Formats: sequence, C-alpha cells, structure tokens
Amino acid sequence: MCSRRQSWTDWLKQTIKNITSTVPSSMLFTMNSIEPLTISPPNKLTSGKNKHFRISLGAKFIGLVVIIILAITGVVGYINIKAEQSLLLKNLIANGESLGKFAALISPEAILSYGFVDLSSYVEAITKNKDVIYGVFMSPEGEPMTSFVRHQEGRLNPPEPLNATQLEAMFTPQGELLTLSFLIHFDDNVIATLTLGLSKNSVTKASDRIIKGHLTQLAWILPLLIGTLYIAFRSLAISPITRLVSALEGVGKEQVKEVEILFHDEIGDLGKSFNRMNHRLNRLQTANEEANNKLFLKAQELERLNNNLEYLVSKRTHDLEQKAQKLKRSNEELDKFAYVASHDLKSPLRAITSLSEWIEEDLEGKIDEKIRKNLTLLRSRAHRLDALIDGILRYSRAGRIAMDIESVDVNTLVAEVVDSLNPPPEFQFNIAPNLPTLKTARVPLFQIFSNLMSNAIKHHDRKDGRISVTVQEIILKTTKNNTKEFYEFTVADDGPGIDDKYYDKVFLIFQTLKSRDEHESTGIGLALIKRIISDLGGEISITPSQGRGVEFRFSLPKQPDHD
Amino acid sequence: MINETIDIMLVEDDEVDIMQVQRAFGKHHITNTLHVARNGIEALAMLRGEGHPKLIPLPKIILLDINMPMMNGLEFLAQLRADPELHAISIFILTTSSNDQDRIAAFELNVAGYILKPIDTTKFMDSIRVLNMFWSLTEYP
Repeated sequence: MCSRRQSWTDWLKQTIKNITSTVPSSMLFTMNSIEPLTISPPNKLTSGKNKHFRISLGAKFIGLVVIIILAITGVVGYINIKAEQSLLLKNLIANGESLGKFAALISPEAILSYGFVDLSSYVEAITKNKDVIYGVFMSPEGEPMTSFVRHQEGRLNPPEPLNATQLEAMFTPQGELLTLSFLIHFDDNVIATLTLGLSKNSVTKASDRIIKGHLTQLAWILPLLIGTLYIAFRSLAISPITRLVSALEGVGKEQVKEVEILFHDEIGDLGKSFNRMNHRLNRLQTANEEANNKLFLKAQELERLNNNLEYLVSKRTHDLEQKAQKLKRSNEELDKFAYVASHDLKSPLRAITSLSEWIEEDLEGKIDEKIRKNLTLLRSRAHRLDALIDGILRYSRAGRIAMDIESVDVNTLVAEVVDSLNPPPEFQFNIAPNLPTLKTARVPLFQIFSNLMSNAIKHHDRKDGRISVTVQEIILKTTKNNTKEFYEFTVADDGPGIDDKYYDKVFLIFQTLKSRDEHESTGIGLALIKRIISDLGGEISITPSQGRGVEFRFSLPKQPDHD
Repeated sequence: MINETIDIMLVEDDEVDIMQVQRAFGKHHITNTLHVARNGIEALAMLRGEGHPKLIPLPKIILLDINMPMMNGLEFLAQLRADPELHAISIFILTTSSNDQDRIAAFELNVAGYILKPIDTTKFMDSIRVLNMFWSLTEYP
C-alpha cells in the first residue's frame, strides 16, 4: 500500500511536469481560447474497484497502523503470559516437591510399623494445601496402603485405599493434573512410593488474569492512538492533497490561485510543481486572452471594412448598372438615328437624283452642254452624299453587330476576297501559302482584307501592281505575368505609298488623302477596319517604309476574347 | 406583258417616289391600273371601302414602302395578313431600309419580294422592268 501511494504521487508529479513542459509556446498565438485541460490518470487507477469502492488514504494508513499495533501487542502478550505460566508452574512443582520430600522423610517409621493411621494423617495434612488434589502411599508391589483425595464435596479418606489411577478418575476435571512421585527409602531399600496429584488451576487462573489486564490497557490506548494519528495524518498529508486536488479541478476553468506550501516534503514538492505549472498556465491563458482580444478587435475592424467594401461595391455596381442602362439607351438611340438617317436623309437625295434626270429627259434637245454638265455634277454630289451616309451607318454599326465566332481558313478567305475585287488582269497577288485557320468572325475578317486590298488596287498608279499577303506568329505581354498569342498579317503593295506624316491620319473617319473629285472615296474604309480589328482584340498600323509601296500590318488573337 | 385586268396598288408617302414608279410604269408600258395610297391607313381604307369607295376589283399586287407616317408598311402588312378578304394579296416591299430587322419582319409576313430603292434612276427602272417580267410570268388567281 505504501509503495502504491508512492507511485501515485510520482505519477502525479510526472504528469504535472509533462503538462508544464509540453504546453508549447506556440499556444500563445493560437486563436482559440484555452480549452479546459482534461488529464486522465493511467488506467491502473481508474479501472477496477477504485472506481466504485473508495477507501480514503487516511483510513488505509490508520488501519495499517492499528493492525501493526495489534500484532505487536499480541506477540508481546503471548510471550509475557508464557513466561508467567512457566514461573507459576515452577512454584507449583517446588511447592509439591517440598511437601512430598518432607512426607517421605517422616514416613518410613510408620510404614515399617504398619502405622497406617499415621500415614493417613500425613496424607491428610498434605492435601490441606489447596493445590494438592490427592496423595497415596503405595507398597513397592504397587498396592495402595493409604490414600486421601480432595473431592467436590470436601476431602475424604476412601475406606479402601485407592491407587493413583483410581484417584485421578475420581477427580472431576477442573484442569490438568501434575503427578509427582517420591521414593521412600530405608537402608537403601525402597519401602514405599508416595504419589501426589497437583492441580494446575492456579496457573491457568493467573494467565487469564494477565490477558484481561493487557486487553484493558489496549482498550484505553488504541482509540487514543488512532485519534492522534488521524489528526496528525490529516494535517500532514490529506489536507494538502485535498487542497491540491481542488486546485487541480479548477485548472482550465478559472484562474487558479497558488497552493500554499505548508510542509517541505514530497507533498510540498508536488504543490510546488503544481504552482509552477499553474503559473505557466495562467501566463498562457493571459496571453491567449490578450491575443483573443486583439483578434476580436481585428475581426471587428475587418467587419467594418467589409461592410464599407460591400457598400462601395453595391454603389459601384449601381453606378455601373446605370451606366449600362444609359449606354443601352444611347445605343438604341443610335440605332434609331441610323434608321432615320438611312431613310429620311436618303429619300430627298434620291428625289434630287430622280428629278434632275427627269428634267434632263423632259428637256431632251432643249438644253445645252453646260446645263447637262451641271445636272450631272448635281447627281454626282448626291451620290457622294449617299455614299457618305452609307459609310457613317456602316461605321456606327461595325461595333454593334453580333460577331459569330467560327473557324475561318484565311487561305480560302483571301482567295475569295481577290475574286470578289475583280482586279485588272495584270495585277499580281503573292499570297503566302501558310495562312492559318483561326477562330474569329468571318464577315469582319473578309471586310478587313477586302478593304486593304481594294485600296491597294484603287490607289495604284499602274495596272500591273503587286500585292502580297503574309503572316507571322507573335506573342505579346498583356499583363505582368500573362502573354497572349497573335497572328500578325501583312498586306503590302508596290503602289505610290503614303507619306509617313499621314500614317495616323489615314485611320480617322472621313479622312482622304486626295480630293474626292480626283478620287471618289468616302474616307470610311480604314476607320471602319481599324474599329473592327480593335473589336476583335487586335491592332493595325502602317509599317514605315522608304520609297514606294505601303505595308499594312494587323494582329488578331489566336483565340477570340471571351468578354 | 402583265395581264391588264390585274390592278396594282402603290403604298408610298414620298411624292417623288410615286412619280418615279409612275414614270417607270410609263417607260415600260405597264398599263395596269395603279392605285396610290399615301400610308397604311389610307391603303386599308381603300381596300376595305371604309370612307373611300371600295376598290373593285381588289388589287392583286401591292408595292409597299416601309417608312411611312401614321401606319408604316410592316403594321399595314400585319393587318392585311390578318384580314381574311385581303390576306392573299401579293406584296412587294419597295424601301430604302436595308435594316436586317425590317427584312426579317417582312419575310415573316410572307412578302413576295424585298427590293431596295436604288438612288440611281436607271437602276430603279431596271428593277421595275424585272418586276414586270416576274408578274407577267406569274399566274394570279
């Protein structure tokens, strides 16, 4: 039991040490508050009887002490009684021997003279001693000569002398008998034997008395001892342990105060270990609470920022929605404008043309050449205005038409463009054989090639001009980490070329490099394709060149944009 | 030459355009009666005899402009197709509108043709000549 207690305290100490050493310093920065610490003791203590049947440490200790005291008292008492008994027995024997020897000394005369009356009086005298039960003189042949016996009713002299065995039988059992025999000599001859029966009763009674005395002592001393021990053990061991246990119960639930160290022993060491652990735990908890507070403040701030952000986002979204609505409205207005323009602006133009023709027809033969030329000029200006209106409409529609993305083989497409332009037979086309197939909108791509190539033909100063179409792959950086792959197409001619100071101007709407009278042109074409290319995600530019010819370079993404 | 018993109606608000059609008819010797209405409402009134003397016989062909005041060509066309007496009349759109939506709407209402008015007088004459040829090939009920 002692060793078990030892191991239990050792275990508790070890556990506390473990807790204090294994609580990691990183716990200081954990975000959760401290979970209540639960320490489960080893199975040895929780399993079995201890779980259900509980004996307090004090009871165990006192029980043990009582058992030890009882054992010691028992052993000492036994030895004591035995010694007393043997002393009494010695006395008894000595007493009997002195009586017997004295009788043996005085009796030969009476035996030799057959004075049995005297012998009988000797025996009676001897049996007056209350330890002597009987006495008998016997002849050497074993015949009893005279006997005397103490009976229950008193002492008697049996009328017929009885031998020792018969006398013993008469004696009702009041205890063991001790038999002493003395030989009676006369001139070196044995003339008779005296046998005495002694009772051991006095010895037995004396030992009983001693045991009683011992027990009475114990009855006084034992309760006093138990009481003292209990009080001492309680203050020395149990109450410090109980305090420690109640403190341990509080660990993790609340801020536990230090345990007072009353005695500097093993339990005191346990208390000190506990205090150290508790101190560290408290420090941890404080740090944790601080961290939690900081976290709470941060969370609040974050929530505030979040709310603000949500507000901003919803406001921006609202603004954007409004802008989108506005844009939609203005787009619709633009559609209406285009519609009105195509009809309401063109009707009068058509009327002017028709009327001028009818005037000419109706005055057939009555007008001179000057009037006819003016009427022709009138119609040509009306046609020009018609073309400009068409151009502006196409330009305004270019950005808004839905572009169906499909797989387009540019080789075929360019061939179709060349075919549709109906070029002079002397014109040469050098189309690169490696033009790609790419995913894009077909009609706008057709428009781009058609416009660039028709410009090259229209503005060429010779009939045997030359147009080349080539392609190369390029990779451009769109953002810091992203790149995008493009096809860069080149449409080059060997015509008169464009002065480099007009490179930017040619892409502006209604800009023509020659007078419209000299060369009928709306100035829509390049502005239109610049817009189309931009909508497809690419760019167009003129490659600076010396001398003749002009080279247009435009890029288109390999994959169409998905926005 | 188109069967002369077939009457033709022109629904057009622009006077010069009316003159142009009339001149084209004259030039191509199309002598069929040409009724002229200045908008959809007037055309419907003439066809149904509401406030106007009813046209007898009803024209079998209508040349229809789209952009007109009060009731435009497409609205007129929808009314005509819903009218059991008038729904079978052959309609040719003659307009300046190259708008896709107009074109789609017109064909959904079963027009016989959609002709863009060219600015060039000569081209317009050609259009009418082709129309005349088409009509003369067609058997009308």
